[in-house]
Amino acid sequence: MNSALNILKSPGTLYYGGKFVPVLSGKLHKVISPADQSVLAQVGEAGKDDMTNAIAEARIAFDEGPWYNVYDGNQRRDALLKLGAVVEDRYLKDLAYLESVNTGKPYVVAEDEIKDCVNLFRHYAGYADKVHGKHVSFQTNTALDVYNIREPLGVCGMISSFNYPLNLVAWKIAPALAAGNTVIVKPAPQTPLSALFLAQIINDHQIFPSGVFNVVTGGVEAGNTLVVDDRVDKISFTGSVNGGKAVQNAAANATSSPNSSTFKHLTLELGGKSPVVVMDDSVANLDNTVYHVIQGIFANAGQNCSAGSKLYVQKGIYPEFISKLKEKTEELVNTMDAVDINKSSVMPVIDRNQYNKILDYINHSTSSGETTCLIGGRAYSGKDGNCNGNFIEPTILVNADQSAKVAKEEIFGPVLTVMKPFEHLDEVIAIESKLPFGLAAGIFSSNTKTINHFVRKMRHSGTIWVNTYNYTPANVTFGGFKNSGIGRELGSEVMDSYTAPRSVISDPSY
Amino acid sequence: MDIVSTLGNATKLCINGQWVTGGGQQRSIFSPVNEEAVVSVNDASAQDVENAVKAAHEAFANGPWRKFTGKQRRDALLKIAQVLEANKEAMAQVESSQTGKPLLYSRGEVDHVVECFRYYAGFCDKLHGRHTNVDHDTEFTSYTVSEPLGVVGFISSFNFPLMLTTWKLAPALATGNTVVLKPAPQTPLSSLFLAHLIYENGILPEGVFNVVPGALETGVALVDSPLIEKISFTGSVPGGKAVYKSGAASQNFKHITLELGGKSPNVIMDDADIPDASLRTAIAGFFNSGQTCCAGTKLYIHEKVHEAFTQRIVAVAQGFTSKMTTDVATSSLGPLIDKAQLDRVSGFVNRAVESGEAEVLVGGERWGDKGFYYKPTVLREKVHKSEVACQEIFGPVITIMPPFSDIQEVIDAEKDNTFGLASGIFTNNARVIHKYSTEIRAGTVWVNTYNTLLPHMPFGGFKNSGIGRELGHEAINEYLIVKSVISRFP
Repeated sequence: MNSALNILKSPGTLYYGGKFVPVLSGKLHKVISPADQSVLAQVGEAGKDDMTNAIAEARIAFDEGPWYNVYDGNQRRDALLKLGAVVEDRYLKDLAYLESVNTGKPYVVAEDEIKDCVNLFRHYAGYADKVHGKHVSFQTNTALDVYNIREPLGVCGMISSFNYPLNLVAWKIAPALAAGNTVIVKPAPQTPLSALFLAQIINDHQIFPSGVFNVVTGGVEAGNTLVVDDRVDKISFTGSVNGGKAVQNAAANATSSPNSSTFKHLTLELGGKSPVVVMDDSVANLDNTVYHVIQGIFANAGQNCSAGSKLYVQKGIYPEFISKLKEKTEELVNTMDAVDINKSSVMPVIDRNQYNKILDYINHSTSSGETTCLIGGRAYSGKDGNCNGNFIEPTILVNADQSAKVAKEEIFGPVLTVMKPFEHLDEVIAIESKLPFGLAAGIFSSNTKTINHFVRKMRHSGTIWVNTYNYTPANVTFGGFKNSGIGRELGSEVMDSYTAPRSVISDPSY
Repeated sequence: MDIVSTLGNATKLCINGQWVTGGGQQRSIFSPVNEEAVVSVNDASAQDVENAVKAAHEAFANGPWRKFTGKQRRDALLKIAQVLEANKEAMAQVESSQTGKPLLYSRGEVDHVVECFRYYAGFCDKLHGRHTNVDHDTEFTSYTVSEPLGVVGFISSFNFPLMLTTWKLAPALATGNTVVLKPAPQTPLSSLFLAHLIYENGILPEGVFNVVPGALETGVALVDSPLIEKISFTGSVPGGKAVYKSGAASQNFKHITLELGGKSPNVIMDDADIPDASLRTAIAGFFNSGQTCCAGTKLYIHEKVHEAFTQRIVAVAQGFTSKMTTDVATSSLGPLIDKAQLDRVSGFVNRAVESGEAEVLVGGERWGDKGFYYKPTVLREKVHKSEVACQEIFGPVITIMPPFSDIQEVIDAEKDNTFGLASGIFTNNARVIHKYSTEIRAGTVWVNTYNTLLPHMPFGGFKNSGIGRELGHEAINEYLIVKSVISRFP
């Protein structure tokens, strides 16, 4: 085990109020390597009381501390710039290593994700000194002075997921902090290490005043406490659809209590079953299409809310495309590596729970005849048959129709469901428009009219990729319709969701 | 600190990332503190200007800068801020060496410049046009794109050499333009040192930022060049009119921003906090020895506090004078930039006194016998529409106007002001504040403060004070040009 894991200075502690505080009950949670089931670390398992204490600290830091009450926007900007600089200059390798072993993703992939976190801190730093309301021009005949002030919401609870642990935390905390909020991060129980290390960095370099940035590791109890507490103004949650519904229910129930005076703002980034469409006329760019379709579903072992997991291939190109797709996927299968995650073409999935669920989907699908397995379809057993990591071979299931379970439900694994070939794009649009997800969609075509039609008609798709996939830059907003969630992250739009306006209308003649 | 060795090659021209000896006149840059030569520079000839413009044009058309993502431009501007911060003392010393500014203010200006680069860096990765909503009955898909103009030319001034260059440079670079700068002839050193820091640290590709020191001939060559899309000029009103005319006569339609002079009114109401207001008012008129385009040089005092305030302002002026020294480390005020300015300022005051248009309450003469120092001066206007109340003096001279009883009188009087750069008022009366801020035709209205320049608030003039805006996000728009794309997909 690399000594980097020893850099977590105070295992079993939570970070709030500017201090590392032991869990009140002393309860610890084992963090398990997806690559070999070894115990990577033990972290605190926060209970209700721990989270309540953390909320109190974040609340005071917002209400009375300097972060919003004294600091100008440019000071918050400079704090975020400092965080970016410090992470980039000193801790890139350590953070990337932690992220890599915690998730099983190759080191180089983790490093890119950490670099992206640095970019997010820098990008949102540039909003901190630019939040403004409107001043309505005076008309001398009305003689009223009218303007609004935009201010941060207060305490924001961030419940994040295991697939891109630090990156998705950065999506939330960068705009929230830029706007002047204080934050409590509850990382996914499987992947707390990078958030804890970030807390250490922030603490060691005094980046923010105490109580502004807090990390409380835990499971359902800790998360629920955050969601129902009246002192928390907003919850930003990334997770499953069921998880999102539970959060919304819990928040609504809490609000209906007579003692509550907070309607929580909610941003929910949930799952998807994102359709990818390959048109006959993309045949000239076959290699590009195959590349992106593969990246779209097998990158991150398919653990991607916007994974292109449902493939529609037009009839004419179907045989050639599927053949090429199979060929390229075979290359992936042949280059998996259970011994060295840095060498493996496909990473393991996060834990045994997910591993079993995904294999169940595959087995059910093939044994029921709802699909045929083209390639993969099983756990990866390693080169010598000895593999105790959560590796699953990249799997392509073909011949699905809309009733297939693997066509309807989010699998969150390296499983591509290929629908029966279609004739006209409008068939796909009509079907997809009625389905309950709406996070993303992709189309591969060289015909601008086709593309324009698809873009216009896929009205409930938060992101549409054209002749590419997965690219999610910081300056473009991202989020879902329907069961894929509510609210938006990234872009400039996210700043509005971490602030609220107050209007001031005055008669200055007195 | 040894200015000459600090500058090194940064006394030549910076063209295409290289230091090139100018083909124009060789001359010395003088310190206005002691009239001694600081360093020698070679001005740019018309050919040098052409080379610089060509380099900037090539950099824009074909160089890597055009392909920089917003992120990369952002990181470049953040790096400039970082490098300036690390070299703050050296830059402050260079600035003081050529202007005589007290070091306290040179250092403050470097801080402001660092802040400007950080502020504008945050725009780079956020520029966007708008995409019209899709309406499935509409045939057309349309959106706007904002693009950089291309090569932009700057003509900067001597009063805040580095700062006013930065007001232009930061938004121009943030939006992806390339730049050719001509600093004021008296004060090229801080801009050259900035170019040195940028290129020594490999922050910008070659040709993106070029500096061509020189005087009128160099400026004319820049304004005439058909490869320059925009001129941003800070200087006098006659200078601005000349640039505007030449720009109009040049071979292409140039965008023009002019930041010119002012004769900014400052109003003291009867409820003003006199000790606080008098100090701020003195600073409004005397800061940078009055060499500030927005200086509050025209003082209106309510009749109820007229005598008391006049006495206070005279006392404050005397206090400033008593703290003047020829040491930039300690002096309250620096000198005027050169003999020509000293003569000009003296001329205004002397004429006013000789003609009976105004009387001197304090100051009214040169300070010391070396360097170009002028004493903080308070005049009282005795004749309506005196020269010293209508013309910009650009020295530490405040003219007190006749007393007034209602703010309306001030507003009416200011209708005749041919300038409109800034204005100030000291009061807590909401009705008066509202009326004044609404009705005064000035680019900035200061309430209970003066000279507060914030990077996020646009700055610029009404009337003869100029056109266009610097600072704020408004400046970003001035360096972009909009393209509309309207598509049909048959």
